[in-house]
Amino acid sequence: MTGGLQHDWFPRPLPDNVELGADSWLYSSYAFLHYRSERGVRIGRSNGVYDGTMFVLGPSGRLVTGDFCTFNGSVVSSDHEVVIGSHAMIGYRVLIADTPFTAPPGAPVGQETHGGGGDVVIGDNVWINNLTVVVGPVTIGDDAVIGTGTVVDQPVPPGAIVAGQPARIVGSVYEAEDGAGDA
Amino acid sequence: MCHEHIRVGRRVLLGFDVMIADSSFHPLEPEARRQDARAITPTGDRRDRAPLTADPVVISDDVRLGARAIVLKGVTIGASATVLPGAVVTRDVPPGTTVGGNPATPVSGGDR
Repeated sequence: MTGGLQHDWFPRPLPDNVELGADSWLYSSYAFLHYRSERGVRIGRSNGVYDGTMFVLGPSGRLVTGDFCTFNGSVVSSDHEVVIGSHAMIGYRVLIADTPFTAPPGAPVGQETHGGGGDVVIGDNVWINNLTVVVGPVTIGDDAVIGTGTVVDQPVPPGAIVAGQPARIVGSVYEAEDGAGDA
Repeated sequence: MCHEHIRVGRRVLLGFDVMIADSSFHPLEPEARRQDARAITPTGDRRDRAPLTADPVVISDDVRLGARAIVLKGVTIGASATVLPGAVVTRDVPPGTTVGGNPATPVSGGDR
């Protein structure tokens, strides 16, 4: 998709290299206020990108999401690549950063990154609760659940329930009985 | 974030950006969660959502919650307790206790 969003209040078009899948909702082009990516963003089908979500990408950053993802006021900060599978639920004030030291948005050319970090790969059906920080390079397996306010900087196996600071595995969704989270 | 019941007592101090939730809002079981994820998308049907469960939260009188503290479902915080900034409270806090960390645990030293 190019150009603007019909409902947008922010007087700026979407960046040319942002692709918004069919039936996806983006609250505003304001999400790209701090966006300088030359590699682009591809949002899948039926994503909901809600108020306050920010895509803070440096020139080398890239973001790809699957289908049916929800971003509820989350921040993705990338100098590498963030790949998010389908059915992701990313909570309020969650930060997904593929680099630990993102340069400020106005940093001069050539100083957009402080180095370090690496790709973030999030599998299918991953639920990341409010205020969690995911720092790359890291991989989160399918079906995993990350509890509130966790800092994830180690690989998370499929189905793991991770919570606390420092983060630890506190259970598996494959053993959940009541269907209600404790996260 | 209140699905059913959050009670806040008298003279309670809620610091900057405190978050209190009486529900997890999504199921843990993977298949139910995948269905829930579809149901909440722009084209999803909200009637397909998994039923929400809630556990009431009680913040008793004279409690102090530090900045960015988080109180999760089912928690009762006893009178005059203190929750330090950034703590994630997952269990009941006895009256007069100071807790901190994630998950929040009692902190020695008393007066903070």
